[in-house]
Parts: sequence; structure tokens; C-alpha cells
Amino acid sequence: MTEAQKILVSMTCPSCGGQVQCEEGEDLVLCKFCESVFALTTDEGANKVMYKMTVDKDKALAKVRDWWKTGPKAQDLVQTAQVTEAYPMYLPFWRLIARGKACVCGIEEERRGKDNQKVEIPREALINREYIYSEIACETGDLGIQSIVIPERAQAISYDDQEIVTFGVTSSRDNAYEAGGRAIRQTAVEDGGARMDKIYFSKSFFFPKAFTLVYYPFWIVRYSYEGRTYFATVDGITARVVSGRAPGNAGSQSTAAGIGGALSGGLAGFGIGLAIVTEGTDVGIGVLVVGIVAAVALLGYFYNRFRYGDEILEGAVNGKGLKSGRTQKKVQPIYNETYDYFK
Amino acid sequence: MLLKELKCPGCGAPLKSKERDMMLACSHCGRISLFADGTVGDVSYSIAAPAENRSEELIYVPFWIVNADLNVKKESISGGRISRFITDRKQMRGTRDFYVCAAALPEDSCRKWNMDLTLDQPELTFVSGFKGAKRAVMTMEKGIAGENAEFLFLRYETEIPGTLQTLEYDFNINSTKVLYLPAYKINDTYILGISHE
Repeated sequence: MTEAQKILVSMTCPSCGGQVQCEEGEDLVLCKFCESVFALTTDEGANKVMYKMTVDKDKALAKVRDWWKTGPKAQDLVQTAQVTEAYPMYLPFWRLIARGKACVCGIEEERRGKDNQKVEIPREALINREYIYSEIACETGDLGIQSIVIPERAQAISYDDQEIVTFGVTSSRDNAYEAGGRAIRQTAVEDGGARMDKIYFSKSFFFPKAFTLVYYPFWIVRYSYEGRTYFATVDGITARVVSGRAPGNAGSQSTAAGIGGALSGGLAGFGIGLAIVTEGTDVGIGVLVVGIVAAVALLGYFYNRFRYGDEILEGAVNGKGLKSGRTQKKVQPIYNETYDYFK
Repeated sequence: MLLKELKCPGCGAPLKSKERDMMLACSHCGRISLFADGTVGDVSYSIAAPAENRSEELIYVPFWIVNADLNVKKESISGGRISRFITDRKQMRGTRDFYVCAAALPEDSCRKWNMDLTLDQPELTFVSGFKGAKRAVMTMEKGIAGENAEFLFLRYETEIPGTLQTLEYDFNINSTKVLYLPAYKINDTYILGISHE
């Protein structure tokens, strides 16, 4: 486990008053001073941990400005946009660390030889890895954040609900635990069957190590541009813009529409012309049909760029717009103590 | 989050320990109880006698012994038939004890012990106490021992010669118990101190 996964939180020993270190996933806690043994209990059935915000407001705003400059966003965004508010926010995530084990059997199909004959190669795989699953535990409206990866340098601190602004937990602990276990098992099967074209047998297990409610810091920045409001969220530890909405670049949209129209028009025209020249022979008609189909597809593609290009959506934000960035996967493997076997 | 002090279920004295062991010995009455689901409870365990006296330090390693009925209904393996015949590999079938090492020892040792002991069930004699010898810390919870045993069977079926293609089986657990096996630590490796193979 990396340090970030091995969360350490200090508590006070009820017997001797000494500092007791609690590690993520360990519900048996020892006091190294008086050697008393404790069970760590929680109201929600999951330990809570918070990560320390290390990005300040200025840095978060600077990162948002950098983000405005990237991609096909409105060109005068940096000059014109006005930040209306920027505030820190801790979002809760359910996090399950578990060993995923799977046995997967099947075949890989390969084409061999001169006649390209299909050959079936029997395959078997055992997966024995650790995985981390994380899932947002609250309704965020549409902030576009579903999952997190805790960076190595993140510093865990004891959860204190007096100090922080957060969204309330709305999803159930049991559902999240179940979903996490299912996702980890599914990922283990997928990892085992990665090379297989057909899977004949699979069986998977998950062995939980820790289930935690993690509060992770973000900056939420809202800004306006030409009378409309947009937002961006910045990771409070890595300073990366993880999600947001931004106005698109009108120039590149009209270019897209123009090129699309010209190209598809040309293709269709070429097809019709050829059909006339070849006097309606099968070849001519064939080319005409192919040309028209290609023209329609092209037009559709550029129309989409144009139509949905009015907004740039970063991260897992829903809605119509040009998707940018990546959506954080819910399950991540930990490449540590991995005992896989492939044949 | 709250810390709840754990007390011996036998004599009620607060439990003390230097190590995070699921098997907690009461320093007052000597009784060992099992930590599970946030509380401590009674546990029965057996201790296998060392087969020989060695000069190295003796340490007892905890295993979950999962007694289960394994009924393979259908199986197909592609290739490897001759090699399986020549090596006369044992089959993991029927009712048996599955050995699942419950200690936080190097995984390579545990994996080998689990497979060897499950395939070739050792004949053990038992002793009543640890006689001052150390116990390795138990880290595996009882609840996951059964599935680890089932995975051991799947590991066996894939590791034998040939490529497993289909498998249908029933795996029914009869009991899950704690067994301590004697081991010796030689340099950084552990060697089991029972007569086996």
C-alpha cells in the first residue's frame, strides 16, 4: 500500500491518554503506551477520514485561468470571464480497498497462415490483486465528479465536521459497499479475460481490507461569460481542474460547419456526376450511393461538432457539449503484491 | 469514531497486546479469544506438536482450517493430459481440510503451504499449549477463509498442466477452525516443523 492508502489518524487512548494511531481498514486498535486493545467503532459503519487541502485560492484560480486557455474554448475567455465566487468544498466519497481474485477461462481467437484461418487458443488466468474503488457519496447537482484517486502526497487528518463545508452523505453505506465489491470483482474478471475473445468460465471474489468515508478537498470556482454562468472544480491537493463547463469557440464551430458542408457537398456532387457519366451503370450507381452515405455521415459529424460545440464539458459533467478530459474510473488496481497467472 | 475497550470474555480483565493479533490472549487468565466484527468472542483452536526438536526459534503459525465438500460436476481441460498422467498429480476432490494461512507471513511461503498441505493432508499430533513459544500474529478474518479456500481450489485447477476451459462445481463449507502449526524461522524464511512429505 502506498502512504496515501495507509491512512493514519491519531486518537486519544481512553485508558492512558496517549496518542493512538489508527490505520485505514484496521478496526483493532492498540495503544503502544499502555498496550490496551480497542475496537474502533463508527456510527455510519465506516471510518471517516479527511484529506488536508494544500491548494490555496490564488493557485486554484490560476489553474482555472490556465484551463480557460486550453482546448476549443471561447478565445476571449481569459480577458472577458469574471470569477463570481470561489470556495473550498469537501466532497464525501465511499472508498473500498479490497483484494480482487478471479479465475477466468476461455479462448483467444487468432488468424493464422495464408488462408487466414481462425485458430482458437485456450487461455486461463488467475487474478490476485488489490483494487481501490471510490464513488461519490453525495448529490453534487452536476459537478461532474464521480470518483477520486488519492495522490501519494495527500495527508490524512481526523475528520472534524465543525471545520469544513461539505455536502451531506446521501447514498447508503450498504449499497456503496455492495457496488464496490461488485465493481472490483468485475474488474478482476475483465483483467483476467483481457486477452480472451470468449469466456467459458469465470469465478470471482473480493476480500475487503478497508471501507472508508473519505472527505476530499476541492475548490469550486464559478464564473460568468457573456451573461451566462459556468464553473470549474479544482482538486484541492493536485490543483488539477477535474471538471467544469466552459463556453465553446464560435470561430472553430463555424469553421467546422463550413468544412463539413463543403466536403459533404463535394462528395455527393462527385457521386451524382459519376452516375451521369457512367449512364447509370451498376458501378456508377454504386459510387453514387457510397458517396451520398459518406456525405451524410460527414455532415452529421460536423453538424454535431457545431451543434454541441457551444459548450466544453470537462470531466464527467452531463449535458450537450464537447466532452473534454477524462472521467476518473471507479476501480483502480494497486500494483503491489500482485499474484497473477496467465496462460 | 469511538474506541471501545476490549475485555476478556472469560475473566473480564481488560485485554492487553503488543501486536495487532486477531487471537488475543488475556494476560490475566491466559484465555485466548478471537477478535471479529468489533468484539471478542470464544474460539476453539488446536496446536500441532513439533515433529522434531530444533535449535532455531519455534513459532506457531495460525491457519484457518476450512473443512468443505468439493464436488466437481463438470470440467474440461485442453491439453496437458499426458503430463498430468506421468506426474500422477493428486486431485483436489471430495471432503477435505483446506489450509488457509492466516498469518501475515511472506506470501510465497503461505501460498506454498496452503497448496501442499491441502493436497497432502498431514497427520498431526496435538499438544495442549504453546509452552512459552511465540505465536505468529493472525491477520485473516474468519469470514473470508472459506472463499480463500475455494480460490485455492481454482488456483490448483489452473496450475495443473493443460488449460482449464470449463468448470462446474459445488463447494460447501462444513466448518472453519483455527489450527496452529509449528514453524522455525531460518534467516528470512519459515520452515514448517511437522512431518510432511
